[in-house]
Amino acid sequence: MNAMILEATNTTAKLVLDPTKNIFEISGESRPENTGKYFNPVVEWLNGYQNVLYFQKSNYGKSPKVSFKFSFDYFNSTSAKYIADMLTILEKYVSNGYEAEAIWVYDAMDIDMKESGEEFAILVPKLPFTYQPIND
Amino acid sequence: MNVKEDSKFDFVYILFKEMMRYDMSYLYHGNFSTNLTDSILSFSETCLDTIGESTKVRKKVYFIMVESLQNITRHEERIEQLDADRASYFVLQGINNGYFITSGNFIKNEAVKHIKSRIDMVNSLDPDSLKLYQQEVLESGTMSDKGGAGLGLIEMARKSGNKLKYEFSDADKTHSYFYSQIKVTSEKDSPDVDQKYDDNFINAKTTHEHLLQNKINIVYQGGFNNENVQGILTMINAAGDGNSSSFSISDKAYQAISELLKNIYLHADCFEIDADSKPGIFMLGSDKDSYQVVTGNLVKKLKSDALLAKMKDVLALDSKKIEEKYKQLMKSAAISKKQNVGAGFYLMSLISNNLIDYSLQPVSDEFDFFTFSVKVKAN
Repeated sequence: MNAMILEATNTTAKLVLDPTKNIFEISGESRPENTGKYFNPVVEWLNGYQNVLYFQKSNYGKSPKVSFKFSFDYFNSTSAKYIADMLTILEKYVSNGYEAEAIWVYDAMDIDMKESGEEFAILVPKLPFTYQPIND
Repeated sequence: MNVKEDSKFDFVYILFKEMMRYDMSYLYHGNFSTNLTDSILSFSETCLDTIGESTKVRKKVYFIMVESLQNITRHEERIEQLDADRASYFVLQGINNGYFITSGNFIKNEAVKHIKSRIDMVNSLDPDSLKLYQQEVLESGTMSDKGGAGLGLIEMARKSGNKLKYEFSDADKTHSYFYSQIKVTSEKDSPDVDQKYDDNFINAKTTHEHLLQNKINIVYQGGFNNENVQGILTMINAAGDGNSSSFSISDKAYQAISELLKNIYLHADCFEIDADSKPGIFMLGSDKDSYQVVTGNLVKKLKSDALLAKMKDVLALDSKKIEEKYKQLMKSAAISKKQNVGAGFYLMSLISNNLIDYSLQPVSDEFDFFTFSVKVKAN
């Protein structure tokens, strides 16, 4: 499966979905004009990646762990809906027997951002969720 | 050019006085482009930085501004043929215990009932219920065709910790004008102060009337310093950018604006001694074929006579004499390496073909309020 890499813009986050390097990360600021246009392909990609995980697991007995880093400076309310969708797919990986986790990276000063992560975590109880504060 | 001591600039002083109770006010009436939204956001960041606001509150203000501005642009797309009176409205005002964010835009009448019931519902919930409601929407909610999931309102209420004030007024047979306001409380809140600002929502609407009547698109009131003057200029550029913009800025108008803004922070007086930035008001309006740039600031009464004499001189001279005088002033400024105090007025006269005007109103025993206006033809 091809990597999906999107550079950050003023209004959209940087995205790296790279199966070869096993890097999964979304970072920066997310307030797209058209949220669906940005996130729908991401959601589609993540759904499709399950086939890769299935293939690997059935051929090699094990699929690589998907550690997805969410490191937002800011996201708007419509992005929140899609972040929830992404986390739900990751949780589905876990339910289907693949290894996956969410790493919630936040500015140590930004307690609201940490709380947002905690609230997302409630939505996906089966997905391991870790928090990573960053000090400037 | 007539020099009248009449009340044509009263509204400038009225707005200035009205807004003196805020640390800063930024108002925009017009159409919104993505560029404009971005520069409003970054300008507001500069303002909050100047005020010295905490990161936590800044992030909240930023969040609510983005949601408000995106609501405006989402609805704006749906209104056909935006003319000046149908434009949207955005206000950010800072006071000592928080920030008011007000927005106004046209919506179709059939949407009123839905929006109203949503806001009433969100306003009726306590913080814990709001949290649960948000979880529910995140889990099951579907995106509306406009891209919103109803999450915006919930998050605005949660982030601000306050209720959303709103009003719908009839616009025409098929449209209403929708005003809403939310306050972000900063940590230094006190209930006494809060009550004092109870009329803030009405105020924001009344001010909008002033803007419409006087064909004003942009108002900034607050401290003027080198940094935020740059921000204002960037924003004006963005406002005049794009197809859907309310106006486009000519080089001449831009030059006039930069001169006037510089005038405020270089020459205005203020109540406090040694203040980092000078209090003042800046307005930009546009008519069919011209822009009007208006500034207002305090002047010490000691300086008023000299200022009046200068204004009379500028207004009495013909364009050839103005040009000579301007060149002469610039030359002597270059030799003495000093700020060329007052040369700006001559330049303004040149740019506008002498379409300048002013008024001086008494404020106190020590201060007058000086309003200066320049009209520049659009191209």
